[in-house]
Amino acid sequence: MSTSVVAPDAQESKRRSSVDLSQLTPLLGLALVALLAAIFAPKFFQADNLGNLTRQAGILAVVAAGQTLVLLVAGIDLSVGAVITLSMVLIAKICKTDESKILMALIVALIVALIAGSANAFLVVVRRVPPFVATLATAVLIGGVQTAYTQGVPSGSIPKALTRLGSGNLHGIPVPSIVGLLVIAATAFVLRYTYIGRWIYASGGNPEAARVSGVPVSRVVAGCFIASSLFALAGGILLGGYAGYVDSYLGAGYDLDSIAAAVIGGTSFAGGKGGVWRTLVGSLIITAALNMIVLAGASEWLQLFVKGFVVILAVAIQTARWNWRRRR
Amino acid sequence: MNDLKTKIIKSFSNGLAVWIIIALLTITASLTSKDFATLGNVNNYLGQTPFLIMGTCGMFLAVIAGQIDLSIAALAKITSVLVSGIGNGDENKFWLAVLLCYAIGIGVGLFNSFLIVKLKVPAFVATLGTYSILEGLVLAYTNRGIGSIPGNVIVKFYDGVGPFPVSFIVVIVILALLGLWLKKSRLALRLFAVGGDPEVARRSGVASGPVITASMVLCSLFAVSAGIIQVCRAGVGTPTTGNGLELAAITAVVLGGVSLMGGRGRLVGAIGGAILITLIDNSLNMIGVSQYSQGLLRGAVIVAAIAVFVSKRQQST
Amino acid sequence: MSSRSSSSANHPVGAEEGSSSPLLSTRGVSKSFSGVPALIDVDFDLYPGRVHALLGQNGAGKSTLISILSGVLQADSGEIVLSGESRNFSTPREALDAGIVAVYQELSLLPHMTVSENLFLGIEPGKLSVLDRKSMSDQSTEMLRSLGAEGIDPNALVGTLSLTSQQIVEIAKALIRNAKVLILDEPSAVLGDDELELLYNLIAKLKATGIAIVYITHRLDEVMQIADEVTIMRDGRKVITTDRANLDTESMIEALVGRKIATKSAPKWINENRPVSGEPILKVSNLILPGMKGKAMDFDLFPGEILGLVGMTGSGRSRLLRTLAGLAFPTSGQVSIDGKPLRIKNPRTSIAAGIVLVPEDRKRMGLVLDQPIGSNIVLSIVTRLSRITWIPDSVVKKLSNDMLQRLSVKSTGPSQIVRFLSGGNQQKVVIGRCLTTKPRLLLLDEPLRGVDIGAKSEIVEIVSEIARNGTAVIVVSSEIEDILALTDRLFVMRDGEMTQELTGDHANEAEVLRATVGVTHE
Repeated sequence: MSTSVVAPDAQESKRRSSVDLSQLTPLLGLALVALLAAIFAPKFFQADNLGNLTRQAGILAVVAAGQTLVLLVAGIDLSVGAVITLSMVLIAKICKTDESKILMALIVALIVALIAGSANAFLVVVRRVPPFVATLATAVLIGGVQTAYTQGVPSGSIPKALTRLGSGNLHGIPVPSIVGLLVIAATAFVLRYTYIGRWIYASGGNPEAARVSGVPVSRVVAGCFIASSLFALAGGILLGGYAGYVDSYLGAGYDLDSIAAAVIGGTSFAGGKGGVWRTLVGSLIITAALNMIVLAGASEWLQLFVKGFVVILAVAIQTARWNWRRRR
Repeated sequence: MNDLKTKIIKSFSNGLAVWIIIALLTITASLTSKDFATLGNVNNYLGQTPFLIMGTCGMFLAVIAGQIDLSIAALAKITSVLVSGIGNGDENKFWLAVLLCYAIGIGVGLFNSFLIVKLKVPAFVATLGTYSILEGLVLAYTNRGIGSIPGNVIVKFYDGVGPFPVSFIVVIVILALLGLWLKKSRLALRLFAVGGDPEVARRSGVASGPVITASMVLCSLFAVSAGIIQVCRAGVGTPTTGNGLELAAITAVVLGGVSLMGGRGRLVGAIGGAILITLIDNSLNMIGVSQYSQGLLRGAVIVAAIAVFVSKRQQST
Repeated sequence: MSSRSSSSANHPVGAEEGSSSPLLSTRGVSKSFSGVPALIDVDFDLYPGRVHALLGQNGAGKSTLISILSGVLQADSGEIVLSGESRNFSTPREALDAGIVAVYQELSLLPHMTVSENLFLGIEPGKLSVLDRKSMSDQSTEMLRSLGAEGIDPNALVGTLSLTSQQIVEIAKALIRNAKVLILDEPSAVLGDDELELLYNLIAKLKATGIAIVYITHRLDEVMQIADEVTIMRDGRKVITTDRANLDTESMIEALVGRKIATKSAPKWINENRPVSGEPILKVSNLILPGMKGKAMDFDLFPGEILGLVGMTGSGRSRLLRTLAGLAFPTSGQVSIDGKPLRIKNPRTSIAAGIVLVPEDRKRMGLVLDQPIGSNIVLSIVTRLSRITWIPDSVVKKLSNDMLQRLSVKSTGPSQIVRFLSGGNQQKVVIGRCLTTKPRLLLLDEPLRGVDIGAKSEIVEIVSEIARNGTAVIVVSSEIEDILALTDRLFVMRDGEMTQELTGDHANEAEVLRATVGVTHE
């Protein structure tokens, strides 16, 4: 009844213009951050700082790639920060006396991440708990496990092998940046060219239609939550290696940062819309903005403040744009 | 078997089962720990509950309206540092700071509902953003304990009738008023209607915007009250006050049989949920579980409660 | 309520038609959607204290007409006259305030609130913001008593009431808002016979208070029982308005179908008496559908055969399709496809076995609207395209282009977002997705709904071609004309069982209508 009879090409050209614009916005954001940096924090452009920045952006991109997968199936993962902290605390403590135990440490961390991801998947898929409640609860449980395990005081040290990974360079390029790029590229490839990617977009865009079309929607959603935990572990390993120490706050902030990176890139909370390349740009924007704040002399508080605003603004813009497109 | 299961689920959804668990747990705790039933601990326990009860009342109102508020912990936190920091031992300034914080609460509630109603941002995203903004503001103000609460205010809080601290009595009065409001006011009726089905409410002539705004503002005011109660108990405002309040309140609401889909649930159940959670904390303490393991057990209880009580049944019917 | 009593004072109960002036009228109302007329120059009069039955097949314009009366839609031309005054309602609220209330099948009640809370939602009595619960409860009791429903406790939760009681509450909700005109949208589709009896009694009471009632139904026996006047619509026009006494079942069917259509030739396949050959593709034995009581079903379907299912909403026709497609699970029975037993588990296993469904609501269940055409078309076969390596863009593009061409979809190509296609082209994309699975059995649920005329005939042609190539097809449609155009064999379904097979000369519109509404032919 509501179908319009506008000539197809007219519709198409209208659509194109709005898509082009939407893909430009993240890059515009990056340009804006650079401009602000040029004014308020000239140090921003020093090679040292840019190196640090791309290193951090690479770490964030790994975590945010997982978050993007979850957002694509209309979920959200508020437990990535907790997974990062717990896995690194475990690795540090296991390798405390003997760095050769690193393999065992990594396996333990992998198992823990798998359990965390499966718990999220179970709550969301089987028990139908709203994802933000489910993952917030597992985050608290993971935090509890960590406190109980360390008796409140994380100890041990990050093994050298990981430090080389997190702080090292390859041909002058920070290793985490390379890893981040590879992870993003691999995820983008899966999303774009494999049946799994097509299942993910369909499950998030219209779960019911996906099911009717033969997509195993529950398994796809569960898989995304598990993947997110594994990506968080990978990001955690890089982060631990970069920081060189562990404390109870290592992963704090990564929940919101990864969400911000994804939504700035244009991935929608409603599911089925978005992609990881844009998340990479989002990671750069967030890292650059936070870095600039530090350079400009303001401390943690402004970072939190800005993150909050950015998430709200990005989602508000998305919502407005989709409502507008739908109304036409 | 299935029948029994249905009955149990039903008794949870009308908010009574949680009170039975509270009774059972209290009896068990009094039998296993001789310290539990002492006047000192009861007084201490009753002093602990108001904080979560206030947070739960706020969350209850937001959830009934079909929303959620993840910013209550940060709002309680900012209240606690401001009241302590501005008051700094001076009673006049203390009350001024309390007023200021309620004004901030109204502002935060309006901001949240602006995002939800006007910008159509989902409540959990909007309030997650607000949470981050408020946390930033707290840190901008202080990153450690700051100021103090006037001595005679604290004394008033610890004083009490028998085992009942004044703060507890104040909370009972607030609860009675809230219960009355839920039963008697036009707005409360519309709150349940909008949360239950905004489209049906609209067709009956009730616009959802103002109702959601009212619920989010009231929720923020309860969060401010939680912050005030906690800082008066602690005597000094710290930026860690209230960590985890939002999830504890959500869990309390869920334990009390309130549907996270909105429009369904009873205050008495949600309050029961809050009391149960505090009781578990207190019992863990009394039976000598180490402080470091308490977080683990608490987390396990929360995850289990959510896994069990946010049932498909609850959401579909 | 005061206005209601005054209106009954103006129009004495039992006034003869003509002697009293209409309460609500439409004059020359027309409405079209995207250039397709849905309502053409309709005059319609409602008198106080009378029940006016509104009849018509799907798409005849009944729902458009009541939507205009209740302010949900606005007429393109013509006027609405309420108590002698020209009015045009731009929102449901305005119509509501003027006393026009529509009660839809899908009730607008809140199940977790009490009866009295529901009745007074939005118009709660009380000073300042304090509710007067006593007055709410008293007025509710009084209202329910006046409707002869003393049994309903005003403090009971609506969700705990029976469907009839809920319907009564919904009517009470309308009356408390001073309804003068009550529009009942096909209550018999959701109520059982005993419950309907109660509703009829209630309607008789309402008539006595001077309320005008519009009663929409498909059931002719019902019309004979309760209506004072009858209006029959067809293809957006009013065919006839007359006193019930002037009509019988046969004349109503005639008016519903239209003379010229009734004599139109029966479907071509049936006349050709096409021979079926080979082994059956689908064998169904002893099948009882979930939640249905009827007799077990047994039938076979041969290659190239197109089976049509007709019946009223709730007769189980869609449920049969959903069950075969793996979306619902049968209470008992066996299904085999090409001789192999099928375990009904989920859509994936059904698709793998060769059964694929074009669902009823394509926007909700058929398409991922914000994805490109190509992604939608290959969605069901992505694991066949490649499980281990990647799926090249070129393969997707070629598959989609072939399908777009085969189905002559008007689009800018595989990369166009499905949301921006017309209804007919969207439907073709769903069919395209189903065809890529190379089905042995294609299930079509309302394939022509919301599709423009041009696309309709194309889709009919596509389905015939699919059948010619040896696929078995089952079609469900509530538009008899459509199903006659599509099918070889017709089964009539009622209450979850197949009651009748129509063949040859009996497969015509009037006969189908008779069979679905349950009128036996003498």
